[in-house]
Amino acid sequence: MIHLNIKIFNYLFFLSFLFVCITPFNVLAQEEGEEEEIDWAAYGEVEYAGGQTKSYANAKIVGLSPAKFITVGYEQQMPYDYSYSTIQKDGYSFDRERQEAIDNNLAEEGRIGYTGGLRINANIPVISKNSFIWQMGFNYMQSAYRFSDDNAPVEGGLKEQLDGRTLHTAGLFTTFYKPFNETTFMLLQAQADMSGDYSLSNLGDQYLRYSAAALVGKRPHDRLQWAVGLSRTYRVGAPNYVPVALYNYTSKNRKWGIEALLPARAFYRYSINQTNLLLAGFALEGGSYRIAELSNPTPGQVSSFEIRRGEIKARLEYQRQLVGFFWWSLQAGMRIDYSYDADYLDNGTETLRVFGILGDAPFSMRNSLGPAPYFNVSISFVSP
Amino acid sequence: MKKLFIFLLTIAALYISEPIQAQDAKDGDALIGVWEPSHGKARIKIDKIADKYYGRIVWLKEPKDPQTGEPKLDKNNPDESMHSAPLRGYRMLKDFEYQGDGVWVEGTIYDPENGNTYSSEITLKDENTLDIRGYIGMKTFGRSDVWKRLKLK
Repeated sequence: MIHLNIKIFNYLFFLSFLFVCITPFNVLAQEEGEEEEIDWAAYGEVEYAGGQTKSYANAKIVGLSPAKFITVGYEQQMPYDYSYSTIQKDGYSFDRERQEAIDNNLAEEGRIGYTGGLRINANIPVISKNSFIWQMGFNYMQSAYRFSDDNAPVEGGLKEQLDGRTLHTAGLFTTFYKPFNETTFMLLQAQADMSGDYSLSNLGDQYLRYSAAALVGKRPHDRLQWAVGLSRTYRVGAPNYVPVALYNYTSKNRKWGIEALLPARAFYRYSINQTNLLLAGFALEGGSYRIAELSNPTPGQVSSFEIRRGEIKARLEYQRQLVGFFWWSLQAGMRIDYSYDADYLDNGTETLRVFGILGDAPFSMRNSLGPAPYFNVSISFVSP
Repeated sequence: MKKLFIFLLTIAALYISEPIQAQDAKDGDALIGVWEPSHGKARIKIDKIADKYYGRIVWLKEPKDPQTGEPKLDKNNPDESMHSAPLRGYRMLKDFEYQGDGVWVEGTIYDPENGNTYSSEITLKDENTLDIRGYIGMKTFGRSDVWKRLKLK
């Protein structure tokens, strides 16, 4: 009986062994079959088994510089001259003729040796389908100041508030991209920023500023995308309502192109190869920075003294793949002052000038900064 | 005797589980066929090789490179040795494994437009519709597209 069992066992073992040996040859046969000749012409004559897919305009065009999911960078301006006027904080009820006096009443001047700091940006897809894209983002930017002149600060002046201190901008933004068909799309963006000299202990909604943009556009083919719309922006320092235009283009040979969102930025792009590219152009950056100690002259009022900072950055940028989906970037160029004036918002009431079209409210302070060379180095996690 | 009993039990277990595996394989084979991405510029034939699924480009709306007038080549591939390989016939979907419940995972998708290869997951929305997601690292950093099944005439 035992002998019979051993025989059965050996027989079954042999069958199992045979099965294991044969299996790889089956798999191999399938792979070989896959490489058989394909009748390519057969795939030209087809019909949809179910319904047809609706085509939508892609959010990008070919050849664009990589879209950045997360960026960590550092930026620094070289030394430059400054001149600050006296500060008028009586609000907008004061005599307009005094504006001239403020313009001409120089209070402080000298040289700023260091302006710079950390920059972080995150842009995370929440929904990303061919028919709809929703992204949420976060940005943080530091501007630390070190004055290099020996002039004593004027008591209650701006130098006293900035020297050795840091202005911050932290914000959340959301972007919606909605294509309607193969060529037409809509782009919406809303942003809430807190800009000023705050710290975690005095952070509040008095620093909060909103901006938004809405554009409608076309993507006629894979190498061209354009859109026009309207935006509320703080890029020139004070709030403004300005028309915006998006224009992205890549040449037929894909070696060069244009990436522009006017008036915020415009760049000429040259692709050295798939992992190296150069950008040359300008970006307009700015915000309205609340300075806490100059903001509340009257107890009980939530007034706001705000530096309307707007700067043009003319620059050359080199982007290169570091490894995989990580790229690094080096920017070098010139920071040109557009605005460093200040407004005193009486009890927080915002004023709108829109380049003098909607109003000519006087400034609380008229300042100017000399041009400064600057550089920015960053590492990004990208979607090429 | 005890050894024989264990062996027979193992064989029995294998036989019982085989129909389940066979059913899984059958469900997984729902991916096999010819599919068209939403942009309509290409058609991809998905086949099964061993236990994995692969898709190759079998048709291009613009088969010729407008610059050269010759068939389009994989000139954006980071591997320069592939620059002379024709795009038609290129295996752009690789290594998908059937996870169950109409989902194929662990695959990659190649984008000939920029030469990048992304991690990918495929979901069967209905028998003729695929939701195909390409992503980098985490599924959050990605984008989905809808592919439709085609029948050869």
